[in-house]
Amino acid sequence: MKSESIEKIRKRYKKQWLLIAVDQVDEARTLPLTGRLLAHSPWRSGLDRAVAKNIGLELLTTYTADKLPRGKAFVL
Amino acid sequence: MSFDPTLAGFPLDLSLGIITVHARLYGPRVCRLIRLGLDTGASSTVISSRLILELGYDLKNSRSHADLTTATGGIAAPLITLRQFHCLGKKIPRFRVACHDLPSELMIEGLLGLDFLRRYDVLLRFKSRRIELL
Repeated sequence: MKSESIEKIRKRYKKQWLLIAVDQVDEARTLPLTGRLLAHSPWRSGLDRAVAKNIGLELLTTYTADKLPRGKAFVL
Repeated sequence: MSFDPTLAGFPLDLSLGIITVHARLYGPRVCRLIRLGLDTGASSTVISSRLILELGYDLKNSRSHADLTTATGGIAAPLITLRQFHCLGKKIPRFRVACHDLPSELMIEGLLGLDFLRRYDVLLRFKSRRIELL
């Protein structure tokens, strides 16, 4: 599988949890740059099997969204 | 807004409705990259129990706990000392975090709290969507 920019992968999948094998990290900024998509799911638990199968790789888990849905707010 | 890598600092990502930053956590089994919510209202950095287990830590035998007071009440959260914690370009060995599952609607795997942030001068530039460590 071809390595591509994390941003490019994130743009392709909306409202999904992504599991990405990271190939390149900007160490000075702790910023993943490139990687290969291993799995995607609307739920974080949907990545569990792929996480367990790829234990030797550096993995990134991230959710993709453009903006907060209308009518929704978070107070931490 | 896409991140311009030629500019100084870090991307200030508001796409989930809160500020998120990337972090790398090291465990006995693996290291993982995740996104954390940057929360100046949290005294402690919090990581989801699911992720702590995936990293290879043993939550059942955690000897220390913190009384976490959240918006919905109080709980005793296990404390785990990560082998290493990387965030915003800073690398901290033996960084202690509280283990607690945040509401799944937040779509993040933890919070970056004041125990990390107060070590630095952090400038949040909302209009230009950048975070700077001074």
